Amino acid sequence: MASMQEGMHAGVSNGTSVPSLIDLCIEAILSGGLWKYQRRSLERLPSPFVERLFHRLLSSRQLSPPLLELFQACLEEVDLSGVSAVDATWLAYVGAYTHLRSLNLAACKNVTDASLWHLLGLSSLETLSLARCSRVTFVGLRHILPMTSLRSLDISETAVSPAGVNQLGVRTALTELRVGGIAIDGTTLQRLQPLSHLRLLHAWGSALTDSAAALLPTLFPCLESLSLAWTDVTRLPTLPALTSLDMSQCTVETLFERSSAVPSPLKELTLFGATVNAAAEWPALPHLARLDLAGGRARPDFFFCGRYAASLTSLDLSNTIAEDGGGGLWGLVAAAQSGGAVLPLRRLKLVGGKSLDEEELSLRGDLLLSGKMANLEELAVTGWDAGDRDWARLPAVLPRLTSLDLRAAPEHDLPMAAIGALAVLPSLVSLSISGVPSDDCGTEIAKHAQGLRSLALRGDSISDSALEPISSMPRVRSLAISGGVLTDAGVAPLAKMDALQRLDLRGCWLLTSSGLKELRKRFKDRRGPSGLSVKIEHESLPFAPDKGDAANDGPASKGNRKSGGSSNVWFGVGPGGSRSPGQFRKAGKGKGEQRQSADKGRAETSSRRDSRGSSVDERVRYKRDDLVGLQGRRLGEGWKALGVRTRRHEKELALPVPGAPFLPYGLTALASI
Amino acid sequence: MGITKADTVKLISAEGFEFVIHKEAAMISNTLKNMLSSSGGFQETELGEVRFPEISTPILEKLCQFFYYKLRYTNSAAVKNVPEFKIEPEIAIELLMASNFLDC
Repeated sequence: MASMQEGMHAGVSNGTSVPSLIDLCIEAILSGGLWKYQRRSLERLPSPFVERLFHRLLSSRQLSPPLLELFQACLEEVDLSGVSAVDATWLAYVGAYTHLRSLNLAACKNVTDASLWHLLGLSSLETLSLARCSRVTFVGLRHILPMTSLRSLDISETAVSPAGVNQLGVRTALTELRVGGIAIDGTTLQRLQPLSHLRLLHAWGSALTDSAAALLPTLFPCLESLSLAWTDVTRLPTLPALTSLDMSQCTVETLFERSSAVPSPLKELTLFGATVNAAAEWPALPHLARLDLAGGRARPDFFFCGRYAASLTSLDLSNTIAEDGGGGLWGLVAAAQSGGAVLPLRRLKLVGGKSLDEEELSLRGDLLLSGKMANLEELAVTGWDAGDRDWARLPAVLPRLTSLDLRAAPEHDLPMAAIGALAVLPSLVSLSISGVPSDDCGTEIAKHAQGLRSLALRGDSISDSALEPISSMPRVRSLAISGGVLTDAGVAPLAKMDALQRLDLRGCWLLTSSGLKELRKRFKDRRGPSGLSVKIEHESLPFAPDKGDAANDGPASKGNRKSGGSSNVWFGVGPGGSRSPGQFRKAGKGKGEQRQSADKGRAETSSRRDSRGSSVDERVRYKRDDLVGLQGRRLGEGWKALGVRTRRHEKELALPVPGAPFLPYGLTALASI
Repeated sequence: MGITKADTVKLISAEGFEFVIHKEAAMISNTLKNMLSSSGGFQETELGEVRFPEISTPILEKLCQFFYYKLRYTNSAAVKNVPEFKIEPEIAIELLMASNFLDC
């Protein structure tokens, strides 16, 4: 009986599904608004539920300072990242959360030095993130220094000066420190010597040099994770406990000295966009499992990937330029062809390459068809054409492939034989094809690949007739079609797809907003009021983050969307090309620019907006002279002169003078006028 | 097809109200499923009744309604429109705690 029941639950994806009572209750609590008067009941709830409630209320903007008090006794982890409303008043309430262990204030642009003073009472706070709080300076840091319980601190991209970081030496219990984007140098590192338990140090974009890096083993012997991306460090000494290293955008000359007797426990190595000069000199890294060299450049003797073939499980060589040609694959192919065991590689990315030469393409084929890649689960590859006979071998040589992202070389379409072979891969769950040859591929895929959960097709020749067979695929949750000539009438059959949760039709330029609204209505009619909702994306529809997504990602998704809820189902489709490197590059650029602006002086006004229209960097909104000029003017007019609303500016003026007695922000503002 | 005692289970609320429901429905709750199907010799397995001294009658009634609702509409290919399961906001928090306990 029990086993039968379990079987029933396991197969939920096939028919209608009913949400759990817990989810229903949370919805009911949120919709009723009665929670405001049920303080005691709230306090009795287990903290994970209260946290869920809290973050749902936060993302739907139902929380405001007086209501924050209700959660005083029951929250342990609070994530306020990206919520611009968070200011001194909010923190005054949050400061009274007695059991708080973790507080994330990343990108809360209205958090100022003075407002941090309220957090002093949090006696059990272990994790605090102030990343990208552009108005926090060393004065604010001084407010949080007395917190002895602190274990992890993130002050990346704040306005804290290198001298401010020096103060952190007193917090000897810190094990994780993120100071990215702050121009710290070797002197600062020496000042941080008391932090001998430090396990994680992220100092990307800093002014560290080789001489500073040479100090690392003696200063922080326990270091497990280190980021030196965007620095001038070229030589890294041996760090005995290091498992994760990020030297993206650096020029790497030597990595660990060879003399060390114990093999390095390094597991992850990120060299995104880095220049690797003498990889042959590297020591043996027997535990290296993840290597990311995307966008990087490697000098000759790039066989070194092959040296780690026995342990690598994830490898990204997208857009890598190897000066010996072959995109860095020589070593791997050699390892695969030398006989011996099947390679442990599970994820492989070989996307892009502006000048794909014949040699590199044939190496890709040699590697993938070598028969030693049976462990491969995720594959992304551009421009590979195996030839008709070899396409048919694919299911046999890549039996475990669950996710495949296949892109045709620019100006080319994939051969039909390829589509047929891909569709019969036994465990494929996610398929993304760019350069779809013709409409028939829809029929082909629908006929064979019945297990697909996620499907993305991109190509100029996709038309309505491809959709009819696709709409009969029962399990597809995420469907993306791009670049096709679809019409409003043609997409109508998609409403039959009962499991569909996400439909991305961006780039289908013939569709109209009224047609898509009609489609959305069809979905609703078919599924009923409490059925699954489907998120439709298209250029003609206004951008609206759906409720479900917001609940999953938390408020972080607004400011810093690293990986949305969908990232696990399909990777890297759409006009942006490969997703993660692109985003990284964008973030990286930001770091570089900020470093420069930090050098020029902090009084400069820098406000940039990214493509989504949300503000990215507002390090200091107003110049010091502006603020000084306000002194002595009547309340309204001075602020109007700056073009800001009065209440907001009250807070702007709350920056206290170091050493001055603290006054609540309103009073400070009044006192300075 | 009559209902025999073996097919049912009795759930007793804090106030002593008794709800007799199908075992199949009660199995929606993972906690009850473990209690009723384990061979560990739970007293509940033998007597076919479970006491909830912490759950009040209206909450337990709602829980029973949900068991049947979920039993009816999960994986039912015949039903296209699943009706909404209505929860009054007044009892939502208490119901949340009970459903957490019963794992459903």
